[in-house]
Amino acid sequence: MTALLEALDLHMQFPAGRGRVVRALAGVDLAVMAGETLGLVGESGSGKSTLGRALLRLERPTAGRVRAFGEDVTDLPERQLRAGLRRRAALVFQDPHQSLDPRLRIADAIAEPLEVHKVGTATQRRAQVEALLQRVGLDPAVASRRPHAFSGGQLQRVGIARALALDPAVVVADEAVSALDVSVQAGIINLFMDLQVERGLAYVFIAHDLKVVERISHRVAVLYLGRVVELAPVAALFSTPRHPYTRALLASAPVPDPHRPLQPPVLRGEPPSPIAPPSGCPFHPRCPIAVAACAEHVPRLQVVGAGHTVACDRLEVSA
Amino acid sequence: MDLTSRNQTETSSPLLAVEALGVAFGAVPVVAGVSFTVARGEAVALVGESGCGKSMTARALLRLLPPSAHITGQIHIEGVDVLAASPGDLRRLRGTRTGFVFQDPGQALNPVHPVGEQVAERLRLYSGLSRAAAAARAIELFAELGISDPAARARAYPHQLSGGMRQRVVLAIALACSPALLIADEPTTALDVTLQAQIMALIRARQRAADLGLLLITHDLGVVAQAVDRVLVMYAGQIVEAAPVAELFDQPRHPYTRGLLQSMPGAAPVGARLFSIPGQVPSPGAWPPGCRFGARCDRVQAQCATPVALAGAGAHRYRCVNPVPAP
Repeated sequence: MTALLEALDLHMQFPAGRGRVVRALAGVDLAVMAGETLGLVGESGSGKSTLGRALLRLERPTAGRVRAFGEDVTDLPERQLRAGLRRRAALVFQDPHQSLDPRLRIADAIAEPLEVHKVGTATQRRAQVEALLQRVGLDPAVASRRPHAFSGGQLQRVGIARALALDPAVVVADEAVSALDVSVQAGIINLFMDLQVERGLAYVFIAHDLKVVERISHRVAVLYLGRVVELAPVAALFSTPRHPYTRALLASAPVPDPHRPLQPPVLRGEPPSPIAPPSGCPFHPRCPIAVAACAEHVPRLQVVGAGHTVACDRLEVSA
Repeated sequence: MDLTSRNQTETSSPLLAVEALGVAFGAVPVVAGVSFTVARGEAVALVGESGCGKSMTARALLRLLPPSAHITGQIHIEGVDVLAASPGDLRRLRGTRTGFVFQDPGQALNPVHPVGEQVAERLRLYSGLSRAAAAARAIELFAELGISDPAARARAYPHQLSGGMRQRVVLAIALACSPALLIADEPTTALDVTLQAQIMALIRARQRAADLGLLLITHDLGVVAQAVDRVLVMYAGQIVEAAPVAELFDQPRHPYTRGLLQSMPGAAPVGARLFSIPGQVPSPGAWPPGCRFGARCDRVQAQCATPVALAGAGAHRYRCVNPVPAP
């Protein structure tokens, strides 16, 4: 398999006022392979959205490299990105109400990437918009309407059609189903999965809902305070999670089974701020198996199984 | 309202009794004919998707809707007729007999006052505590609600606290005057999953310890399963199914409830397609005269074109003439 997008020791810092910085990413190594879905999970401040945007070079990393389709794009100017990365990778946002221009007819919103990249004639573009609308499950007759006329689920289909316009190889979906009602969400998840089979698309699927991630992903990376703490094939991650944070995250998810008694919460406290991250292992202040040494060194990722790596120095305890 | 629940209302005099509740904005109804009860110590969930009217229902209970909302029907809390209550009665109901937790704790807190003062103010106003006693009690409440270093946190302003801490503060205000009824509208929706688990466990523990009636408004069936005794499912302004929580999950009778359960992301085996309910929720103002789910339903029949009443026996009722067969 070939890597489409790669993060190499990626660091991202943002100014947070009064001379402070937010360390959104603190050394991430990750590759998105052709045709796969890589799930990114983590809580607020984990850096998962920042990572998605950095992989698309929508943000310029503070340190480290970003490679896209084999090329180092870390320092490329926007003009050069447009000829390569921007054509072959796309982003689907959480809230299509915010990502779509309210004044633009949805046909124009979907055609916009085609126009920017000067693809086809006006007639060809119109035909392609129609085909895209149909493919995402919308009646082409709605093409002339504006976003306000659509429900959240329909608008997310518009967002997906727009992302597909340039026939990308990889799509970053940032909480793309999180704001949708469950009955609508199911249809969008199915659509994402069907499109992957049809087009061989790769996804970076960022979500906080673990059940959604389990369903759609081939591999899952768990982020905590800007670091990947565990990366594994989806079955291994959900059946034999090794990092104490992954375990806590899985145990915290509500279980839709009224016969299972309510479990006491496994984690106390809240994720520390990425402005003042703890020393050593970022999880140690909340970790049930941490020892003094965990505050000293940042644990390295170790291989614990096929494609399964974990950043924890207490693996002998969490086995 | 059918006979079963009317008897229930009269004999056990529930903490909260809602009968034929309607909410309309101008000529457009958003809630219509909603009837239910919550008993002392009972946890009830009002579940539904965006626009079904669940939050409108919750807010109508304490007349927290904007003046343009027209509320009809009957609401009784501890026997007090909410819609006919005097300003003084309403103030007492809101201040001491009920607590309200919203999705966004930012909305419930005053940004320019320390959070401890906001809890203390509630205690001074409604429980008649002195300034010093109220301040001390606020710190005690913070400790009870799992706020670490409560005395220091009491001096913090809302923006200095994380979302999870703010929601604990809102819960402290809601519980300050020992209410009988807690109304929680999507209390954990804006929180991360590890915090969601903490806040739900806290709400459930307080509810049991204080014999509180709990009305939990949520879109998340996963949260509901382990948090409540009974579930009311709303669709397009109506309750379409009401059942004890285990029955609702084990044998949903309304096709919409079944659809909701089947479309949950964990419902189908990994790799299989998820069930997805076709079509769209009809908007308020465009509700059909018959079953409001009919146009999306795979069990629809000719009779569904006329209004459908809640049917069924005992605690399990559903608004469907061709219900999903019981297993």
